[in-house]
Amino acid sequence: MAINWGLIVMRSIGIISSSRRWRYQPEVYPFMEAIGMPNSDLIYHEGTTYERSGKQFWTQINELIINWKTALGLPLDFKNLYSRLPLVYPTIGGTATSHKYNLSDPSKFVATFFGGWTHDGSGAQPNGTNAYMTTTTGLFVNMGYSMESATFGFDSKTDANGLYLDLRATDGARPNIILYARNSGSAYSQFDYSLANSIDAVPDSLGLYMLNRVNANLFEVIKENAVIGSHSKTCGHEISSGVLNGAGYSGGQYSPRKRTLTFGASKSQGNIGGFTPTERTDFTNHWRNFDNSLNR
Amino acid sequence: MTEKKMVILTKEQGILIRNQAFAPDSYFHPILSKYMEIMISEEEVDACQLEEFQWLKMLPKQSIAETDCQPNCSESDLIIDQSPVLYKIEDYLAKTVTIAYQCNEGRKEIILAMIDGATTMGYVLNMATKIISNQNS
Repeated sequence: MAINWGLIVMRSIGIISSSRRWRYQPEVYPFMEAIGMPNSDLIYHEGTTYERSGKQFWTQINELIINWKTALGLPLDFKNLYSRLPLVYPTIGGTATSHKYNLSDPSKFVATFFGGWTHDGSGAQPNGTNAYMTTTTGLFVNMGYSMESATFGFDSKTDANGLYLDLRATDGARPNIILYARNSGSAYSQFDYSLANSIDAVPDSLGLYMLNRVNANLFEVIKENAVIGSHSKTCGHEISSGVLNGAGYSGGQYSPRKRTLTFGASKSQGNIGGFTPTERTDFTNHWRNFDNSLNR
Repeated sequence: MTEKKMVILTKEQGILIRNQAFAPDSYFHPILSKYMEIMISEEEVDACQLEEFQWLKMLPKQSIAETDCQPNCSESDLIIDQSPVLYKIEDYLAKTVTIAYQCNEGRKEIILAMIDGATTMGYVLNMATKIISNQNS
């Protein structure tokens, strides 16, 4: 019987598994699931006319995912920011299924979309009527992260002036994160349970917004890396914060603002303070470079 | 006035789509009009891929004022201290809506107070057990 040495070598070095399933970067598998492609010989037919095209197809996807990882993940990792970001939804892929994945860990905090969204290659746009997303799992419960060192934000692609809720998380009855990117010309935000908003004038509702905990008694509001305001509020009972909602929530105030990023950053409990100015600049620049590279 | 294209459903139709996905990782989210009609958005209908819900595409799309789709709290007395934080608890099958605003107390206390007749948008239920049940769910 003839021995297929090539196949044996490929299996031994991990290029192909014994079940004829190709191995890829870990990020590839959620993407394959997203586009409905099984990693099996349904695609890769060894020794047939489909072999070459199948290999090329998978190679291209693998390279694409690596490029994304290189473009966004590695620079963040280099700046010691990647591990700080338990929630990163870069809305890549053009479908709800691909947009649901958390880049930080595709197996955790998977998002779910409710109501009318328009998903395409340039991001995800809620309809402003009944659409919202939720991370489905509590932010800080069992995660060991702290609101005292948290930074939250989203990248808005739509300029709209109105009472539209763009980011929200609550601890039961108490809202811990609230952001209205622009209402009557100002960004409204709360960070930790508070009656008083930070109300900061903004010319439009475009760009990367951040709510950043400066220290235990102060948070700041940032738009495209420019501090537009700050508000005194001492951290309190935020450790049991629930799911992160984007573009509204079940019950009203839905946002129509298209987004290409929703994110949450934090350190482990016991740390105080979110992004430093340098970290904020690094994150903004890396995200903007990545987002621009996708022409959106 | 901004208008939205919505599809109005009967109660029975609302039951059929409740908690159902209309496309992968996308779920229907019915809301109520101020006339207590069950509505979903045209985006949900257009994006619906499941054969069992294709009947939705046969229903007419109606233009609904944006302010009739949800409470227009920008000009209401529900904004406290310029804090646009609003809670709305709805059960569209029972056609009941309760609206409460954030204050120094907890949400439960607010809602319990409202049951006795507080500020509303004009179509408020008075079903304590249901509200509390929703709150705890």
